[in-house]
Amino acid sequence: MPNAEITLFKNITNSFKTAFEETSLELINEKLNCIDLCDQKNDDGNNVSILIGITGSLSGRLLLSANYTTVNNFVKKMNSGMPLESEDETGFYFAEFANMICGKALSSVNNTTDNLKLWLSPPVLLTGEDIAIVNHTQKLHSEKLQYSGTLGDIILNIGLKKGE
Amino acid sequence: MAEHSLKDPLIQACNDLFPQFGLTHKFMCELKESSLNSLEKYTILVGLTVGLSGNIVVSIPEKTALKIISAMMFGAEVKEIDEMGQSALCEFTNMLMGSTLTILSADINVDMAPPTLIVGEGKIVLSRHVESKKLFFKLDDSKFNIAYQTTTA
Repeated sequence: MPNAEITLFKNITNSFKTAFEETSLELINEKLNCIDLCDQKNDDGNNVSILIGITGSLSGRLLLSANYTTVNNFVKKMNSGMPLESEDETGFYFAEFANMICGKALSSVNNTTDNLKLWLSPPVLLTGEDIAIVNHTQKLHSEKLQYSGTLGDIILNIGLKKGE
Repeated sequence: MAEHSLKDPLIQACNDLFPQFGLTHKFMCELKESSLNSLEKYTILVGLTVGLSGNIVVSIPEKTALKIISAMMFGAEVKEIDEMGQSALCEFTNMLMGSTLTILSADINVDMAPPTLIVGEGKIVLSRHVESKKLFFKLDDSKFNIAYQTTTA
């Protein structure tokens, strides 16, 4: 991949990193810091994933993944420390977190990068026992970020390629 | 604003694509569902943006997946699905969705994200409380379905 494209993808990843930190601060009053991960294996072992498609000058997707415990911890904090009345809603709160991250990141990218316009598809909540989201089929350039802390582990996987 | 249904473009795209690979399929029916979900081992998800905002989910049991992959490999016998088989399945879906959007472009321009493959047994819930429609198809003695949920963007 040309260096200019790698630089562009790194800048976009940084936008997602900033958006993740700002959104977590907004929603749970705590800034969750991410680190870059080199491990690009399939996202197994996390029971809850949010997938948001990206189209436009670049195409791909954001995957936000965590296990049930971490998602519950996060959503409880979103709800001022109280568990939700309905367990079913937990995933949707987490999906809204992912949607806000993407919205912020792409607004920043669209406003600050010349000749780049990106759009989002609605978030999809993936839950199920023993499911694997297969990464190799899309031929995307992937960057992986991880938050690890008192809430648990949350992984952001940003995959992009040139739009068609 | 007129609602744009994906039903006819999806059926037409299947009618165009499957015979190209020597596959015999048949559209059976369309049903409404209260959520976007998949009960099959292979689920391929495609996000839509621009003219329509939403998602399409192609659900394929293993038996059907083996037939499709074999057809894409010029009839070679395929007993299990490895990485190459998974890529072939995604590529087939990519062609199907591309064709669907080309047919739809007579009315509305829609953009799509690259397909994401999800592998797993048991029910995968993709989106609750979101009314969707599901098209059921037969493929020889096996089956598959395509669910979609969209709003005008």
